[in-house]
Amino acid sequence: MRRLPRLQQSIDLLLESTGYPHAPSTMCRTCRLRAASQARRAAFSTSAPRYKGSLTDRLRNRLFKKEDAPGTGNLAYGVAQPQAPEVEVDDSVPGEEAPREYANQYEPASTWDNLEWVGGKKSKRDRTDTREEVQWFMPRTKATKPNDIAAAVRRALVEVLSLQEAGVHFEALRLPTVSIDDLAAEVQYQFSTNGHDVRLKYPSNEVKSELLGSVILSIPNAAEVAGSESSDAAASLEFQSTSAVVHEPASGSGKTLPWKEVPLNSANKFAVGLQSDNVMYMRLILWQIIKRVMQLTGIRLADPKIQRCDTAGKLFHELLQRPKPTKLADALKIDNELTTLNNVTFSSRRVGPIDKERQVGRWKVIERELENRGLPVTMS
Amino acid sequence: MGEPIAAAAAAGHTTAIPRIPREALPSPPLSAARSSAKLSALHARLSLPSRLPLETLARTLIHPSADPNPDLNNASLALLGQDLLGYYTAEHLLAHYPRLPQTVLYAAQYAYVGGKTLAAVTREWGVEAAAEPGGEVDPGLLQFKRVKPGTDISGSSAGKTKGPDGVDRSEWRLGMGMRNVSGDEFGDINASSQDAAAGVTLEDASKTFVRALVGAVYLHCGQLSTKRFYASHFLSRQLDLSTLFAFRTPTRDLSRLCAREGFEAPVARLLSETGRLSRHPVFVVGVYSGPDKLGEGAGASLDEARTRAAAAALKSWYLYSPEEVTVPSEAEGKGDQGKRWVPCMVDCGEVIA
Repeated sequence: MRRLPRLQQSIDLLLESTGYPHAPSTMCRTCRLRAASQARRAAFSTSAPRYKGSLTDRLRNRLFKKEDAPGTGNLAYGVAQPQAPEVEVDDSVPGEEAPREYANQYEPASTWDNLEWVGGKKSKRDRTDTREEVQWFMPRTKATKPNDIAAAVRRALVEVLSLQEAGVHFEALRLPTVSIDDLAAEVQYQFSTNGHDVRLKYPSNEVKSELLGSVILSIPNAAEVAGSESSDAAASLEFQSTSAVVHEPASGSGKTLPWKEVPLNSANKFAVGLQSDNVMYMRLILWQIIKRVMQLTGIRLADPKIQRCDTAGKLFHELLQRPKPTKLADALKIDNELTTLNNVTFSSRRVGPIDKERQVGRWKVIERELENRGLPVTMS
Repeated sequence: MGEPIAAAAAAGHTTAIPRIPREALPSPPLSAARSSAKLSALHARLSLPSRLPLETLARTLIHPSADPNPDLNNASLALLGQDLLGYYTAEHLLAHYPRLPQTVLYAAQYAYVGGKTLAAVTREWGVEAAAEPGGEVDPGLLQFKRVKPGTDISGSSAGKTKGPDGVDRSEWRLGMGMRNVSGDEFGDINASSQDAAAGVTLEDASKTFVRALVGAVYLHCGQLSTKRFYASHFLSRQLDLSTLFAFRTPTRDLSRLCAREGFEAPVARLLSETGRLSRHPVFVVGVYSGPDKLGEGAGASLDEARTRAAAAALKSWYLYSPEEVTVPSEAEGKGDQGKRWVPCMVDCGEVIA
């Protein structure tokens, strides 16, 4: 039965009076009492001593009900198996012998020179994971200028729609390293003949080829695309839809749209009368445009916002929205009601006691006195 | 002048200005005044004119013990403000109470614009003091070097220095003539002879700040605003002048006064009494000069009542106030700005018994 731990027994008082001979002077009174209690418990214990040997041997002996059970010594099928060196079970009470060694080996540190330093930049640098950094999906810096965001939306529109028309998988998109803003500005948008999706109208074939060349990593052959589609029955849904789009005649209805009126979420609008594959494909295009815009601008859009983006203009509007400030000072600075007051001061961080002491000029006195006494200064 | 600098800047030969930490400066820079909420709040709380800039207000809060630079501390402004406060207070008292004795005049002057009063005004204005002056301190705090604990500040005023003959006159009683000639607006001699480098008390720093603020208002906003500021912050304080009198022999003073003014000799008459034979009798005595009653007093004895009646008669004489008064500062100004000057009443003075 496991003994209940208790803080002190009446015998401890007697033991304390005689003194624990092995307890070093560096141990506190509680630790000394605990060590003495354990020593006394070992002396007066009625429980069976701990058995030497591995657990397997003990189980085997228990099953065969004798000490020298067959197979003892870890013999399996008559062949001696490599056995791990037997570890001597320590029967001694932890508090009995350890303090003696502790007293011999332990040397209290007087300075912190050779101690491990936890915390600070150096410790953080030592513990930093040296593996290769993961390539980020989005840039760390977010686009803030409206012109940059508008250019990113137009570029995403052109890239995704051009891939759609070319019948290329969307994974063939290049990383946004080459600027195609000039080319994207020349492209116009038209409704397709079925009125369900938008087509790009290029000013010339040179522009189209140049655009596709700068957008796509490698243009696959249409025959390869068809072959792979026929051979691979389990092709992805988007690829099937892409190939379906390829076979459509790429002619516009003639009505040119401004880029802000390009419909993005037309799948909801035209869901009635459309096949489920086509609806899924339109949503896939929307997702590809959103994903590309995120890559270009570094701005992450939440799902409810994405659902509100019916047109490219609304997407642009959602991207322009500043995120909700995380600090109270930033939130108060948005409306100029308080910033125009001269007797109100904003602080980007919490005004702590050190700041308050510094404002009244007392902190430098405290610093000086701490340095005179050789004590560390918290702030510096 | 600006072209070579601009050319040098364009060529990239800009001189790097060493950045001095704020703590190394003796007082906050002027640029910090615009960003201090305390300073703006003080400006608004005192209803100071908008023509008084925040930078000047910040300068009035810097005592010479904090920053010895006369261009940055408030010493010069305080000197001007002290004269203005003394001038406005003296003309108000002398014009409205032309018969005030000189000692009462000094006491009233101190009660209006003395050191303790100005320190109380500073507290009422909500001006807080910095623990230690420095460049990092908020400019809205009163900055001065505090006197070290344990320093004797009780004997800081008159008589600390010995005379040319080596005689210590610290215990000598100053006569009114010497106070009139050598004293300041309160009749004190060498009242501000403290060494600013050794530190000053909060009262001294507060006094200097209020004076400097009055001087700054005068310089930036003119006399009219200064008078308005003075009237709203100092003259508005209620002061019972009758409590400032202390007569030793009022009956004799009253007799001398009546003799000097050509009145009949004062006669004390018992007006009423109660409980003459009781433990607490009360006598009401009136002092008459002929048929005119000069004063009335009540006391537990006939002598006490007569003395009180004489003191009341003297107070009523000394506290006489003309109905319409034009102080000299009101008549200053050009054209229609100044009031038409009406000469004030000038009394022949108090009775010296």
